Amino acid sequence: MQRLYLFLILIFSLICLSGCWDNVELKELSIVSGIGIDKGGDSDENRYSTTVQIVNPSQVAGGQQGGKVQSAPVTSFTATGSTLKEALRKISHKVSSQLFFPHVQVMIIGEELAKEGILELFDLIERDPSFRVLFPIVIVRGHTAEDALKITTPLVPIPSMKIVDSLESSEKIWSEYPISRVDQIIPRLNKGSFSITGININGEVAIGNKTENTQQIYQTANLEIKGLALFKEGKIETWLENESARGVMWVKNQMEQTVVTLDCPKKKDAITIDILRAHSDIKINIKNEKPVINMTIVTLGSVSETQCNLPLEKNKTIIELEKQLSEEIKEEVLKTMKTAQDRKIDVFGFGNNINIEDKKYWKKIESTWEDEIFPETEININVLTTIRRTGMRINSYIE
Amino acid sequence: MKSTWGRLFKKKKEKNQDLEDKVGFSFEQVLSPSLCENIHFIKKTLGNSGDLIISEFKLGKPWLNKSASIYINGLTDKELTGHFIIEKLMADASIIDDDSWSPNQLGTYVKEHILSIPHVEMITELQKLFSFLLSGQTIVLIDGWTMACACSSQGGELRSISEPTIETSVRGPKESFTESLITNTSLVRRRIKSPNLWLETQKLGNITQTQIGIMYINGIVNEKLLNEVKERLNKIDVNEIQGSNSIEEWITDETFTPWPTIFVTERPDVVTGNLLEGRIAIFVDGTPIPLVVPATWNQFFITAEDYYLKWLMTSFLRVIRIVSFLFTLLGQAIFIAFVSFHPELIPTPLLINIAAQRQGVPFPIIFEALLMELTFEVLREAGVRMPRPVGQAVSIVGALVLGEAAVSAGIVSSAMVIVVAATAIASFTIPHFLMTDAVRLLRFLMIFLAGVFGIYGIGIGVILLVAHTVSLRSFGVSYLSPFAPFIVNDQKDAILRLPILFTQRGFHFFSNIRKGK
Repeated sequence: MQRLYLFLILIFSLICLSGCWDNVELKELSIVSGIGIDKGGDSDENRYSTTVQIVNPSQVAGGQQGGKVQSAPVTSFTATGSTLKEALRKISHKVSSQLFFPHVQVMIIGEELAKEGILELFDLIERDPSFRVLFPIVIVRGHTAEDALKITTPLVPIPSMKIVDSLESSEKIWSEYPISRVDQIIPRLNKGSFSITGININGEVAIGNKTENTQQIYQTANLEIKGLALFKEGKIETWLENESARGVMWVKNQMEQTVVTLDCPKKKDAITIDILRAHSDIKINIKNEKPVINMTIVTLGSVSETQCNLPLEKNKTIIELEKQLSEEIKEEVLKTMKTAQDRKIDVFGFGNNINIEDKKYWKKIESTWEDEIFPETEININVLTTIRRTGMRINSYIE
Repeated sequence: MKSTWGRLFKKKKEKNQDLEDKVGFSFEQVLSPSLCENIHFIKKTLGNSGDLIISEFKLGKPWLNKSASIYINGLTDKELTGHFIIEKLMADASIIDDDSWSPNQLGTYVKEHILSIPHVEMITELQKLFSFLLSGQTIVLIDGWTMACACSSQGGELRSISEPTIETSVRGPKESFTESLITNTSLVRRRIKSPNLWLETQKLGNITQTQIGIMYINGIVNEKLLNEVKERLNKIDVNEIQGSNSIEEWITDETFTPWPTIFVTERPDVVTGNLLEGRIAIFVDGTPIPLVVPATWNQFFITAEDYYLKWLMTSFLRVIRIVSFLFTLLGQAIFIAFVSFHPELIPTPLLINIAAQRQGVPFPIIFEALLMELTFEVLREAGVRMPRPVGQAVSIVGALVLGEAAVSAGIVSSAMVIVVAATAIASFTIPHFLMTDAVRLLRFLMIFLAGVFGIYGIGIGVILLVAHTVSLRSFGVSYLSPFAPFIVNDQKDAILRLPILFTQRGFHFFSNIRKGK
């Protein structure tokens, strides 16, 4: 009998001491798919303006939805407040149920706010247990985040998901702009520079806001991934576009697949090389109290298009192409380096490499690294390329 | 526990007294020399029952010795009684022409020379006489003789051996046990032609006097286990034994458990296999389903078919059974826990899908789940108890009308219907009905815990269940063996079945002979 009581007490304590989780009905949750943060007003009371994009499940999920009025797959609400949490809580006046953050797909920051500084934005995300830190951040160019969250998208009904999908697929096959996840950004906030990918709103926001936008074949308003914003001390310093942005990918070993164009003897940019694999390796040498960065990029490619007649069956041609490709890549990387050094932004994270190489030396130069040492640092780039295949043809039909 | 048994045991003598009072004679009473008196007594005791057949005749040439044969109509083989007992006594006994023989000599002569029946027993006590008479033997009484001959002439209408209906098999034998104890034991003996296959019979039930048989293979069976079984059977003191289930409850180790701790089967080949592994089978007259002890948890996931299929297929099927068992037990509970406690753990597209389905549902998810699960149980029960043609109608109404309509009316979400249906189908893959029943109940416990405490509750439930299961014993054998305790040798035929090359059947760790010795 005593054992039974002991058992019951133990069971009871198991139940009582189990923390504070509680059940919530799914109907009482508004699933937030995206958060936008903008600059609010000038006063402290409305420092931030936050926008949430809430999924309308029955419009998104497949299956029967007969008889219902076609409404937008997502709805967005905005509120202002002195802190992010306050602004988010104020949204509850407008929403029918509790906001549910764990499924946030993307966080969008307006360019205006990004220019003033974004260092303070991430404390809430790290502190609040209902946020995951695995979603990407993007900067809206020339618009507010509120606008970006208004644009309807075809194919993927939830715009936030569309942004993430585009980021992921373009990173995989084009590798121009990286995905900047919150958990990768937070550790770098106080340590020098970092980069965040941008998005652009093409067309008018007012048109994009309507579901008719997605009923067209060619969307008059759409979202496009464009540019890499370089941040220094939490503020946007400059934007890198296209090939300059790709230079960062080469250096940071984030390159997966991309396409590089080479010149024909008589035609510029007429040969396409598919980069199938790429790998970069950074070695730091410290010479005369100055770091020297030696970088090796190894790539593997195949010829995927030629617009002129090239004797591809000859080894010599391939070797020449390889040489040209190496030069092209080197040029691309050097160009990006130049921009970074001019702007005094170590977006590549070389500082970290130096830290790994020589801790004491790094401690000494840490404070002056970006502004004084980095712009002067010698960088050697060595590109090794191999062209493996020429596709399904050897020589082109072009005479 | 011991004191309970002791109390029951003490009462036995008092009970005997009660019974004697009811029957109207002392159990020690013997036959009287007078035939008339004996017949009168038998008639009186049996209340002049209509199926009691008493044919009186004279024995021997001088036609001096009054004699009678007594049997119960329907319990005896009429051919046997007619040709080999009554005919012999009336015709062949005519060679006795010496009237100086004492009834005693006469009786012995009749037993030894006249009755051409395989088994004849001499009895003196009335209690024995009734016991033989009522189990289908023909009793021969001679006037003046204080003994009687009991001739085994059991027969009458019995159900013939038919195909197994619960445990079907494609390649295995198509025989199943019947209600007759002797038929059942013969089915097993046909498969094990070893002198070591021993059968001990005894009678249980003060009123029903049901015959039970303990079958085992001497040399393989563990004597301790055998003694334990006999001891527990001897302690049973009840008036009625209706079938193996009433014995099961008396000899089981733990009554307060959802798990079955005694194995039952209707297939002779399963019993054979189990006997060869060192288990003991308990047959009960009147039940086509003998008990097999000791039972382990894993045994309920093994079918006869497993040994008739290729080992790879068998292993695959066993894994599927265990997985579906877990799914039946936890599937619904995990769904509830995830949706109502941890929606952040569901992948976003799936969550949106579930949320869309649940938008119009007016009930909380736990209520919805219990509603659907209970509906399913009601349907299953209705389908089982109804006459077969009506049963089909039940399933049509249940599945099509109720399920479809409930979803389209928005009373339940289709995700819930899918989960209920999936767990239901998974529960049908558990081969043994006792295990299915256990899971059916435990599932509700898990759903309740999940609905109140989420994944944490499921954790508590599983821990309690495992702790309870590990503590169980079936006749001294750990219920979860060979997993807990972990016995490496027995793993060859537990979750997986390795080729027969490695598994040389027989001799589980609890048997007398250990593998590898």
